Amino acid sequence: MHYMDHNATTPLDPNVWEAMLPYYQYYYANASSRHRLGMQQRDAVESARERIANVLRVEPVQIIFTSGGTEANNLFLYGASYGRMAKSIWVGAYEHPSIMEPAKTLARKEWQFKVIPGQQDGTLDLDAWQIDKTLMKDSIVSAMLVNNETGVIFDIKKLAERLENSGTCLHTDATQAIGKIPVDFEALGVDALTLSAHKCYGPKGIGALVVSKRLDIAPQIIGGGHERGRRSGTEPVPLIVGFAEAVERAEMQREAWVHHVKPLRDKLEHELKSLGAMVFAENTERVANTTYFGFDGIHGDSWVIFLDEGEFAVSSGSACSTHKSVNASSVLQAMGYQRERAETAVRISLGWATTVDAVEALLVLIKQGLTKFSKMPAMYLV
Amino acid sequence: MSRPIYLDYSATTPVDPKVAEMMIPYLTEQFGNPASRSHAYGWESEEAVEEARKNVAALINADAKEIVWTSGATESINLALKGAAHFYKEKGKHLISVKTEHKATLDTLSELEHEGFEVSYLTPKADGLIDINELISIIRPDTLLVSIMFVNNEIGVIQDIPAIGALCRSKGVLLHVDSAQACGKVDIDVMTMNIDLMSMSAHKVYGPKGIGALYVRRKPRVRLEAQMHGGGHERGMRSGTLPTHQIVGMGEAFRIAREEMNIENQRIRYLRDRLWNGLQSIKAISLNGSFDKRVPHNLNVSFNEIESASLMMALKDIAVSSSSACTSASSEPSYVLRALGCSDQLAYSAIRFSVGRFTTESDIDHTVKLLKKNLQSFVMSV
Repeated sequence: MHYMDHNATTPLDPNVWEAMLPYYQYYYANASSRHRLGMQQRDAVESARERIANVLRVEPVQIIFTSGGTEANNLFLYGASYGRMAKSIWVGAYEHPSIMEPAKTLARKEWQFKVIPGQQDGTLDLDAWQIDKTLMKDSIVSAMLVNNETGVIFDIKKLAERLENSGTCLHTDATQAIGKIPVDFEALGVDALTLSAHKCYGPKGIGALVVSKRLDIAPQIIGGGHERGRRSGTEPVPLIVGFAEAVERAEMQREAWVHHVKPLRDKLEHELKSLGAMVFAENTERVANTTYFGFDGIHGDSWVIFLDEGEFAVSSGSACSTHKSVNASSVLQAMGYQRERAETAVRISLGWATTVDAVEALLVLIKQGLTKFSKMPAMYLV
Repeated sequence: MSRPIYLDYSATTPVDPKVAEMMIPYLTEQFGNPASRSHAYGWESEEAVEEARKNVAALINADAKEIVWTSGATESINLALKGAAHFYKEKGKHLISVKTEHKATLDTLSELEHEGFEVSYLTPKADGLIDINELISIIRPDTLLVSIMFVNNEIGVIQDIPAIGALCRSKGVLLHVDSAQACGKVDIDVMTMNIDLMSMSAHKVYGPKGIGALYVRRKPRVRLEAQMHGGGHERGMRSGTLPTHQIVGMGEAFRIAREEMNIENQRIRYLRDRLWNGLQSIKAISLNGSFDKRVPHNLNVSFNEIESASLMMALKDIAVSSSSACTSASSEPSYVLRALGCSDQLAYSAIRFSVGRFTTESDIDHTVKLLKKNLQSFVMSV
């Protein structure tokens, strides 16, 4: 089976596993315990925090460990809106459900919820977005750094500049960005940033919210006062150690990774186009491993099943929309695509293990699929 | 330098090698996102998650559908208390708990008090157990929920949950039980005990850190307001990519607990009693909490005549807790012992020894020998 769904999750880097292993086998005390064994664990947690901080060019105290990207996004939205008494919440048109859903929940309370519009090329339409400074005061804004479906890289720095001196608090979900593009907290000009380990060859179940030192975050999981009172719960030391190892390696190997996946993705995309595929956000700056495409009249889910039978794991949309897998991609709809077009979408996201042979085999299979599907009625649904 | 003897199993436990073995494939090979509906990587992970859910449910006689995965007991407690209080707030504003609960419960309740809920805290008797008649007397028509821990983390006493459950059910009040310290140590049957919500942790039961679960009764159905929003995982009650290896580890840990609990408890009781007998010759030593209604793993004793600093020196080669690990950043005397009516001196000189699966007889004998040697001037001559 060829795994080509790296934006959903990645395998664990064996080096990361090696770093974690001693913390399963040998070091196991509670990092809050005051005996020597506990202090060793505390040191491991703090050294991991420092390593991640170095990659992002922040100070260790700015890092709050969470159980993953979803919790970090929730912690920001709930924590900042309560902590700052914000009145309005703006989110990008393409945000992950872990941003959209908390924002909608807050909208049902006393917060105003607004969406920064998208456009055909997959970026946010910052020019059409009129920033009303009086309304923006004390508001919070969240826009992802890299989209999980299209792979589009957003100009968060430009957004930060537009918002300068408006009194807003800007957050970016960098879950899909780390290891793919440079992620520098200060250079981006954000007040908060979300990270997840399992999208960059680290373990599942660990992530972080990185915050500026000025930002007040009201804790959401309380009891015990861990993480300087910002997130309670016994620290999962092996996961934290694995997270640091993964983030450090992802950054260290970023250029080599691009060098590996980009030619493969470009070859794949080039061939897909020559077969008649339409590539979404084709001419927009994107991360090097992702291609999001569709063929007229063929449902994305039909491709996914066909390719799965042929031993290729791909995706038709975000894996996280667990209960609405039959819905067309909300990202593509925010880009202005009609439902029929959006439903054709297939996402292929490559990784370290992808080989040129695998890409060629995939293309052979897709050609077979085109022949098979051409004999079926249009919009062959599963 | 040799490693200290680990007698701090109530703070955390090492991962059982059998548990680690089950986890490894899900870290290294079967890494798919359980929410990926489109390929075998996802299905395999989902299957493993559901198998683990059955194992956790089996230990407490629940249905697998009643188990919600969380990042640990702290999150479970936050979800249970805030989730139920918010959902049922029209029904009443009164909550009941006990002064000796874990910080995760006390801090969460204190936040609910800020939101306008009213909380009554029972003071336990000197043996650490609550007086059921006192509980009867403070239940009001507007009482929503009672939250009581099954086994106390510091003194190991076992509350009479069957009686409390029957009372709550007859009064139409929800019962949340924090069983982080109870799973794998005492028999739990959520059906016959009339438990509505129950928080569980893996790392206290030889499973990994960073994973826990909340039992949410389905018949009669208990509703919760979700605290973390996103892709709608866990039937909308808790979003976030499921950390497969963590979940598999918790499932295996609970499966082993179910199989071995009765035999293991006998062995552990023997070791704990051996320790207690061995310490008898130390002057003015006293046990905190009921001896009979206590898990066999726990021994909490005060060294009346010994300064806490010299006590810590005497214990430096033994990993024990001088208070709950989660509050040990502070050097306040234990609030649990204070609630039992212990003097400051007794509370300051209290040590929790907790015995576990990998404790040996020679660990116990060595501990006794070391303590007697280091506390020579306090040992009674025979």
